[in-house]
Amino acid sequence: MASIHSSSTQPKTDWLQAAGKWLSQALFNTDTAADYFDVLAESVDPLWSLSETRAKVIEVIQEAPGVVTLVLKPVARWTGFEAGQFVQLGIEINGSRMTRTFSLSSAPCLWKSQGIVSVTLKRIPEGKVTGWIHENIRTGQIVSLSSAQGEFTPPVNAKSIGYLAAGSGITPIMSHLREYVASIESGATEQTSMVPVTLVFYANREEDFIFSRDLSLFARQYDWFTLHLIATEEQGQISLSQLQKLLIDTPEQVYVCGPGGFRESAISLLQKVCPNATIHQEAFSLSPIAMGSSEDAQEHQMYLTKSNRQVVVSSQMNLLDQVEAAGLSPVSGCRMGICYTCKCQKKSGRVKNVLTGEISDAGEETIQLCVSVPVSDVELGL
Amino acid sequence: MNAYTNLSASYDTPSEKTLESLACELDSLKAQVHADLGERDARYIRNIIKLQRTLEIAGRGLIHFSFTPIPFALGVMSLGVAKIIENMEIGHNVMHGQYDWMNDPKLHSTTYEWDTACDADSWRRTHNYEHHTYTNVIGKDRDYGYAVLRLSDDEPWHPMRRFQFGYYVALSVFFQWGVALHELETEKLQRREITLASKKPFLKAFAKKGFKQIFKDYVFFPLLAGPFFLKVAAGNMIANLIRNLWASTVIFCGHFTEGAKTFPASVCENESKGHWYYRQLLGSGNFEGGRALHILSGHLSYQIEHHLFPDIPAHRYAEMSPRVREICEAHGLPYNTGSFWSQYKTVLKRIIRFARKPATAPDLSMTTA
Repeated sequence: MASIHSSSTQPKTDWLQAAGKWLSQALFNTDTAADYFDVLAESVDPLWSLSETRAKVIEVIQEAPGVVTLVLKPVARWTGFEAGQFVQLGIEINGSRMTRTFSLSSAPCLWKSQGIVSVTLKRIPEGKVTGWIHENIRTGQIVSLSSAQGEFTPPVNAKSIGYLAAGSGITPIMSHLREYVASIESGATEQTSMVPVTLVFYANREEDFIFSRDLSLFARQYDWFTLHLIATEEQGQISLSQLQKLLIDTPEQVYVCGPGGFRESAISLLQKVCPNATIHQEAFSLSPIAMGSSEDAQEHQMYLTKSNRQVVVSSQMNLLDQVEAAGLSPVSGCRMGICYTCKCQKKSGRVKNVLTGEISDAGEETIQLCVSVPVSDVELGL
Repeated sequence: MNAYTNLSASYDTPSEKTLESLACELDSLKAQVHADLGERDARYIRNIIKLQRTLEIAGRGLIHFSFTPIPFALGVMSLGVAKIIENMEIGHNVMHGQYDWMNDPKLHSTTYEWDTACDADSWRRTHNYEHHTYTNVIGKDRDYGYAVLRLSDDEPWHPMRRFQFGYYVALSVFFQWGVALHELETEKLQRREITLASKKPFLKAFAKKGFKQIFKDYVFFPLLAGPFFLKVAAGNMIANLIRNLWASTVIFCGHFTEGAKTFPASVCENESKGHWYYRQLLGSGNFEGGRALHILSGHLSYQIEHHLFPDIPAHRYAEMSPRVREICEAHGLPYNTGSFWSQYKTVLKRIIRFARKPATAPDLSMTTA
């Protein structure tokens, strides 16, 4: 599951930190000493990175067609997570580092007791990273793991909770459910004090339900948990009458996770079914490549984050010219892809390198403006 | 017979068709290697970094703890070689964007900083842009002679040029500072084409970086040694000197050998890709040697390949070179190479030769300031 989130860093005002950075730059020519020593540390043990947290894949579980769970053992200094949060998982694919965002599907309890977490990911059509993971990942693989982020966490004092999930949108919700169950099993929570929890889970076909075995088991075992599995190919898409029938408890807090279209219709229906409920949702985007032959001129939106400017750009003109036409003067040099002076941070969107014909990923990366043309809406850090 | 080019006389461009075919074949060679980049290249550069770190730590350790000349000398050599590898094979190449595809923030062209007095941002402007775009174009490529050496008859002679071999030696000894001050454009300041005030941002960056480098080698590590302050400072100074002399030598062999051609500024107007390739090819020279020599020169021993493909990981140049030679032969173009010593000898000869007052060229000593 890929979520879009913006991250912001606090300005570092601490003079001690500034002094440390200066000293590291002076002694090692790197911003932190860790950046200098990392190569040595990881050559002793690939988990020993000083500049990032790493984890080892200890098990790969096939959940459903095109869905795998990676069971990870992060190094001890990883900071942990709350149920429903996500992490950036970094993986090196043929020498090139790729980072993607995935929700954690395990319970925080499992991390606290055994130091284990898991992510569950669906293969995205033509997805570089998920495709590679599905075909090549083995136990023992080392990955990097960011600290957990996200607000899609369990409610504190709700009288009843509703969950609406579609496809792999179940992953953060599974983390919630597993945490409730673990908390009961460990005796931390009384079975009787559990509030009613209803999950309505949509997937195309019967075999596409991820975690169906665990979910059915929970439903049989616990009175507070009600499960509705809806195979849309047989039972149809989400609808008003269906929700009115299934959400009998009129939940106070509702969590929605799934593709954009699903979330939109779910939220508009929920506003009718339970108008007083607080709705939480997790964004979820796959940004498909804009189709069309290379001869066709297409128009896209370009958003420049630092200058806060939005302009329409053409797919037939390099971004450097178009950024300049928008009134900016980015640093530039040879304008032919040689000198790298005009490199800039792309925040999101896909671009095509006109020299190599390569189409980039939708994620954050550095591009050369002078040889890049947009193939989707783009966001640049200019 | 004049082995050196004279801009107007021997500047004889191949036909547009030949240039087009040259561009096509070189582009396809580049695409082929580019498509093959992967784990092998990532492993290579990380191993080089590991070697560099090991040599630097060992070098500083030996300099610090040595009480007899031999371990001290070993420490100095080790640190010198570490600095050479960091500058040539890691820093220079990473800053060209050769490893940007790895998407590793520690090895990215936009952020890398290196172990030399020159500020990386200044280098990216002067070297990656000016030098690689306008290679050997007199008046535009300020690396050509570094504004202190006259290396072609296309430049006017001045009586001060008589002593240019001395300037060359001085530049080599203080090479890192010469490179660091390159962007100051002293020759343009002298001619009053630019003002010192316009160079303020550069000077600030220069001072910041330069101070850090001095602090490391001449304050911090010497102070750690307490009473042996001078020993450590001297060791670090010799290590820096070793790096300076070697870097200068490698770079002079790249563009100032006997066979390296120069070009007039007019070629840059509406220049085709083919002509750009042609100019890179004729303006550069390789030298041959063992694997260690190539690594220590940051593979600038394959200067021709580097100028054709500046963003391809340099350790790939060795395997690209036979094909580049074939393409040159097929297009009737020279491929300037030789042993390290034979190439270096022509560089020294060139510096000496153009120091002398030319018999025919006008004496401009009266007209230039």
